[in-house]
Amino acid sequence: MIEVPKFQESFNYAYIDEFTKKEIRRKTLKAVAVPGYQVPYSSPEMPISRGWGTGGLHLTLSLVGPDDVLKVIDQGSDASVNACNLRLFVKKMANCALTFDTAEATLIQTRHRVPEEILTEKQILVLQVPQPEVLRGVERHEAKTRMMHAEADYAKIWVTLYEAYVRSGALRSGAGHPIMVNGRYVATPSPIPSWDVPNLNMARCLYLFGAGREKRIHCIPPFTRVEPLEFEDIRFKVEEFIGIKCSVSGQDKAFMDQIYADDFSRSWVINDSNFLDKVRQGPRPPQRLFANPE
Amino acid sequence: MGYVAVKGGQDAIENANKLVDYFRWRGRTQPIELDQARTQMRLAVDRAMGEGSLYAPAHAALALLQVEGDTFEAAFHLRAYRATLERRYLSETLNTREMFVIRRISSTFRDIPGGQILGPTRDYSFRLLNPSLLNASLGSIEKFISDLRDEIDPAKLHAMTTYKKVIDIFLQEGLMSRQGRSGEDRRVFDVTKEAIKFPVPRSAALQMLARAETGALMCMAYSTMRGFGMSHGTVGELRVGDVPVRIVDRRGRLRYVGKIRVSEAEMVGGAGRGAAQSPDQGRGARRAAGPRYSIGYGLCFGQNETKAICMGMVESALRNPNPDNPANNQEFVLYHTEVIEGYGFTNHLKLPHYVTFQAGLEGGRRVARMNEAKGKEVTVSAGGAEENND
Amino acid sequence: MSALASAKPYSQVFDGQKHYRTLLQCMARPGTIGQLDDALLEVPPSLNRATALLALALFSADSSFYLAQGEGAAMDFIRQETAARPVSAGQAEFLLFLDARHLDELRQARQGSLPYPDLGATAVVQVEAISPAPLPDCLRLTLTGPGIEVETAVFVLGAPELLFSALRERNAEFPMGVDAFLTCDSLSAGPCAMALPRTTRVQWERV
Repeated sequence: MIEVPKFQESFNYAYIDEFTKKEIRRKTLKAVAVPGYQVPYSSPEMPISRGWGTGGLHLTLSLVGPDDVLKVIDQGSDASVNACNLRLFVKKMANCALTFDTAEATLIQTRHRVPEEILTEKQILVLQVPQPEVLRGVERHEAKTRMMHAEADYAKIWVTLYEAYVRSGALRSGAGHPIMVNGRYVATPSPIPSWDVPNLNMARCLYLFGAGREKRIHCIPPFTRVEPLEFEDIRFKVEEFIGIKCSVSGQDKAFMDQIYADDFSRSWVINDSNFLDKVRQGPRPPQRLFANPE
Repeated sequence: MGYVAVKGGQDAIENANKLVDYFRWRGRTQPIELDQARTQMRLAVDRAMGEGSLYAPAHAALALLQVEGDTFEAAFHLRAYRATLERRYLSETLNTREMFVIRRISSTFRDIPGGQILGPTRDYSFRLLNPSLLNASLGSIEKFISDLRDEIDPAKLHAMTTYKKVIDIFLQEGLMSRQGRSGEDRRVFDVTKEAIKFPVPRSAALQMLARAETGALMCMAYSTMRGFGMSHGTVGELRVGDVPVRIVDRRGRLRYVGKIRVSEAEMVGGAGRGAAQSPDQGRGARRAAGPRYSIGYGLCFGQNETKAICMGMVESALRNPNPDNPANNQEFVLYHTEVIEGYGFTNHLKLPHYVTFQAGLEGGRRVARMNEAKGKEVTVSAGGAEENND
Repeated sequence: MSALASAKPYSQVFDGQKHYRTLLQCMARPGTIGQLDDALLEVPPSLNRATALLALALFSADSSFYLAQGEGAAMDFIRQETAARPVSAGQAEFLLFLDARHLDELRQARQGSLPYPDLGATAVVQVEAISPAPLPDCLRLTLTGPGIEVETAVFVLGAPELLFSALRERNAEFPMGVDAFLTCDSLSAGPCAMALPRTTRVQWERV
């Protein structure tokens, strides 16, 4: 092995240098102070690709210490290849403890799902966000969407919801249902299923949202009002999975994954890998379940 | 699931890394030396340095070798490496008038002070594949270099100095103003330290363009030449060469730290554009009642003329916002030519999206059930065209 | 003033991280009294240790601060230890008030703008004590808003009512506003901080 000093890199604890960490930390504090508002931040380059979780990483690396217990999931699973990769990276850079157990974790980085098990005061959930600008679909220009948030001018997104209803009979049929945070800012919860959205309202834990490519941080503090956008007569609903049970655990009332076997037969499995492990071995961990209005 | 599945994920990554190496070495060919890549793939190295935003030819060569020539990955590696480096100094502003020029042309005038110097360029070569290149040996290379040296007149070497700029002609004739536009934001901005806010100051736009992906920038510039923009300018001056870099050290002394190769393009904008600007107050200018020209400026690392020229054209376009043309739209150009962000986000579609897909599918099924109950027949596109659906 | 919890010298990396986590929890759960683990560090007498630790955790060369006139040793400490730039009250990212004097200058603090409310400043105000239980001649603060399940009571000694009325005035036009940390060195708990983000509604009464 050739030692070439020229090419050697030295890594700061948790990869990011202290100067940049402080900038991210100051911005995060401002995000907490203005719930739902997208704070621009420097978003330093990382050895992980943009769009693959750099924003979540920035937050995790600015938060993590050697005493933390870290869990990383992608689409609800600890086993997902990208979750493995990110988890290895943080471990290498911060030497924290790792866990798959949701209850044991102090810091959880997630892509596109909120764990089924209720999170507590001791926990921070860091969500990876591809597109932090909830209005981007109705207005392509950043300069304009920034003014729309400034003036709380959300008419366009309300119209879009109404049009979706007229077209298809539902407010939306996908993930990332827009939310009103603290009665002031419309924000994206990131592309989590509607199933997860009620967990954001008046929660015990802290939610931090990092969008690395777009360079924005936003926050839902604990015990903050979070309301999915809905009309009085057209209400927000979560996915139902009617008549469906997990083929591995026999349980229902959790977000399910559709699995296709080699013979093209279809079955369902609980999506949250740690939740599935727990219900297979013992009692259901505490959950917040939302009942769809009639 | 649990531990076993997680191990599966980690094993998959390890195996993927091994397979990458396998596909590199399976041909059992002689490993390429760093200096071979650095010197014989010079233009790839230059492009990687520009897009990686780091002037470090050996590192760029290593990156290209490591990623088997994928220029996106090479730039990515350099950017990531750059982010780990301590920023100790800001250099003094480069003065390209000090450039030791290897190539210098102008399309605006036939003859220019100092002359047109073609330099190393393939512009006027025939693009024919040349297998005789494969017969080169160190011996034949030595002979080629010594034959070339014999052709150089040593007496004329000393006559070469630095060159004045073609824009000096414009300034002298009162056709161009030294002053920028009034009210223009002249802050020096660093996009790697601060998130941009629109409209961005000129220095931020220039920095982003200098780091932009060459092909993306070419796409933007090309569009302005084909009706998606105002009439294109001409190459006032294109120069490629080595520029000294200086810093002020901690004791306040000016220090030379080395030289870097850059390509610089000064694209001269269409006539009349400058007519509304403030009267010329540059030194030595003659007041003329004629047209006023402005410059679109391009500068990038290494010899990457396409990028410098396109950058100049796009820079010019960005200073004249116009909603009809993508290239005249700051947000469109700056966001979408950013190589690492574009590469990352387009490729991120390979990440699992089954939950978002499932959410859409379930939502669609719920709607279908509702409508069935109402006796309605509706075709539902599950999660299809919804915004923010990822 | 307070017994050092640990004999270890201050570590920018590890103490900075721990203190940030505490400050973050304070901001996320207003009314929480966060304990900043102490470390070996020389702090000038006009600064309490909590303020010093907060500055070391958050300030850097690209941040700016305001410190009222005549606070020489404190100014030197902050500049040398953090490289943060001293500026006027109206420009500063952080405004430090070492005691109740000059608090009226809080009225000049940046509120940010409607498109960029995050540019609103952060005030750091040194007080004598912050407690979950009443203290003689203190102010009782009743807090509601994001981060608080219903309401929280906290007692502050050495902070004039002017502080809270100035903050209320700065925060009258949400989302623009000023966020605040109160800091003190407690005999029993060491350096402590409490945060009042602009979203917190504060009622106060003398006790």
